[in-house]
Amino acid sequence: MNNQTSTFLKKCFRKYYFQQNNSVETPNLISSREFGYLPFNGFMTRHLQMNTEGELHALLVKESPLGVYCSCAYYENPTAAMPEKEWKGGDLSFDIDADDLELDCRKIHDRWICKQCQNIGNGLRPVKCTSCSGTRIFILNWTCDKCLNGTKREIIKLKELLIDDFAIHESGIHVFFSGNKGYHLVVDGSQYEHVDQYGRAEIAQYLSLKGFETTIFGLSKKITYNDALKRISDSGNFGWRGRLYKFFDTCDIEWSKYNLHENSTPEEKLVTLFYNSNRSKFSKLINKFITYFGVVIDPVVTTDIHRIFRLPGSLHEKTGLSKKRCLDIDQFNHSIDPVELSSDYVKINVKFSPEFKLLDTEFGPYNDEIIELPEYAASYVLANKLGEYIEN
Amino acid sequence: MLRIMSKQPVRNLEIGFEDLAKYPFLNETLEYIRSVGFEIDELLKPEYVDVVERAKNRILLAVKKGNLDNNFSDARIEILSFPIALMLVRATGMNHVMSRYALAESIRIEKFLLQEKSDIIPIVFEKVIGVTPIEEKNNDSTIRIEYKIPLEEYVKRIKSFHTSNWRLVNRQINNGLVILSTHELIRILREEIYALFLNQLRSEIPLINKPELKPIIDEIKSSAPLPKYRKIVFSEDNYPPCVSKALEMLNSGENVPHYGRFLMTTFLINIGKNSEDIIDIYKNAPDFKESITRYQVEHIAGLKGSRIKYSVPGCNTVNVNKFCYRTIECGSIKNPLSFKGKKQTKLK
Repeated sequence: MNNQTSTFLKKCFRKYYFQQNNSVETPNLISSREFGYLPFNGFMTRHLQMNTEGELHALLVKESPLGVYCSCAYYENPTAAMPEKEWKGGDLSFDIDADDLELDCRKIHDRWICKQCQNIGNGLRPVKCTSCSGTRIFILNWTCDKCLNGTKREIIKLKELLIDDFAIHESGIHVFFSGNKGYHLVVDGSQYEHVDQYGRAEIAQYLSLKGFETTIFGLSKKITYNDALKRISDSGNFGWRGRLYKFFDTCDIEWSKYNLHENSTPEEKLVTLFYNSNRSKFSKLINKFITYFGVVIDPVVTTDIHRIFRLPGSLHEKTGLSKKRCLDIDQFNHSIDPVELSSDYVKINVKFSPEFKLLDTEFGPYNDEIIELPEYAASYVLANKLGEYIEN
Repeated sequence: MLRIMSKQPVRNLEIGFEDLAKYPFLNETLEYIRSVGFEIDELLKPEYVDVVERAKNRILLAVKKGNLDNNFSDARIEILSFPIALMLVRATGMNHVMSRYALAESIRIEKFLLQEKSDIIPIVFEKVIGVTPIEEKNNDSTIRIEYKIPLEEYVKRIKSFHTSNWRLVNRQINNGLVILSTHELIRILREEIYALFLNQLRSEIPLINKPELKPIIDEIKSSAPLPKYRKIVFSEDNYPPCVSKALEMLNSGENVPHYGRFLMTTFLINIGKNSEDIIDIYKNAPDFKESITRYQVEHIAGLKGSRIKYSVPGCNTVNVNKFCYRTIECGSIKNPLSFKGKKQTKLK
């Protein structure tokens, strides 16, 4: 990114933080949290304390940073070095990122660019450049409606699990579009605020069904069919166990082949399949259950109790879109709602860019051309480091 | 046996004299010991000979066999010998004696609790942990009684449990509560009591300095020599698979994810590699910048920033962070540093 481009982007960001400072949300317990920001030139600045909303807004206008972050944790001494901060608790936070869904569309819209020979390739990053065998490769993870609708489905699943299994009150659950490739979910003021990183790892594993074992609740070929059925029927059907029963109940299987019928109990169906189908068929069904019901979260975000998380309402450094609160996740439109920058036209030189959609307008693809775009779309391209600004 | 005193409004325990001997963590036991009012100076008096002898016996059984006998003939001796045993163990200053003793005492309590009526257990649980388990009668109420405890309390208390049945993902959860059997409730209690005793031994119990007790303390020390740890010497072809994977990716110019880098760096630092060697390894990384790599490696080594040397993350954490490449050779290790591989060298 050249100086002209970064000056232009900084100007756009500053205008946003100056004119729409109410869009930036002030976290609760503001003075107990650590703040940090990434300036346009230089390294991340961390361990800052903001005592008031005014102080935070003043910082945003003055610095107009590329990215601004706030800790999920609250500390006795937010400005101290990490070991002396004294962790007092923290929001439960989740990040759902389109990259982690590993959808097939990545192969279509993701790009890689060799830093040595500038060769551009489609799809996932190769180990070495296919042209010069160089290993210094820039990866461009792009998104499409399919990816972002996929992350939306995950966030809806996550929210339901937190309410149903974790008894978290809906009013404490806050959902945001991340400003780039997915959604963030934050739970504040809940019974889980004092759970440490180990406990949060358990929660992350639970939600993603990592380590889920069917043998634990009584399915074992060491015992008879009848004993297994009794064991399963005697135990409850809460949480994942209950969902697994429902899943088997609704599986599209020809039950008569197993001497069962549609109205057989879910427990009978589960135990019968376990005993009478081969191991790989049963495992495939369990894996299908895990894929379908488990939530694809980034476990690092949930378990890192000292993490600083993008501030709600702030602009994303890779897109210029805002981390927007989703009051109604079903109605949220990721290509309209987070667009905050102006529609004034500016001229940019685009090296290349896959197509993208903002404010219901399709842009691109572009390839080595000078074009005029609305400020919000130009910023999207420039923040992705795919072009440079041209001054009029 | 412990009995329930009243069901309403607050359930409490009717505690017999023998119970004080079985459950030294109860406030009632401490009150009894206080009421006897014995002083450390009196320990060597003839009337305490039996008590001191039993205290010594408790410790020796714990460190040699890892197990205490459940039978006792004189509850008074049993009650008073416990705090004395704690003081003697503390006086050895040996961490492994402290943990072995705390473990043996907590296992003994677990055995006593298993003999109690099941409705007693939640009350003891509440007394020790401060959380009231909710009793849940199963449909077939004559056989199975289950308890529910808040999920946030459960996840705080299973850190030291490594088997998959304790993982939250394999538990039944209902509306923020985790369902547990009586045995499981007791197992959690045991762990909490172990931690309580260990904490007392490490910091709360006063250090006695009585020359007359030195022979006993010396006898305990000599009966519990320092365990011989097997030092594992790692060579490059003997790294755990997760570290090998990170190295392999780096060598082929692949981009190693953040967590893989962190794991590999902590591992190499902890087996004694110096920062320069590690920075050299990163030179193959596609995004290598020496100044940034140097700062990060030296930060992890405790030479920069917070000056805290990072330890190697446990296998479970590595797994959560999607960088576990477990092979059959990993066996049941809980940390990559324990990887024995095929070519392990043992040192004394």
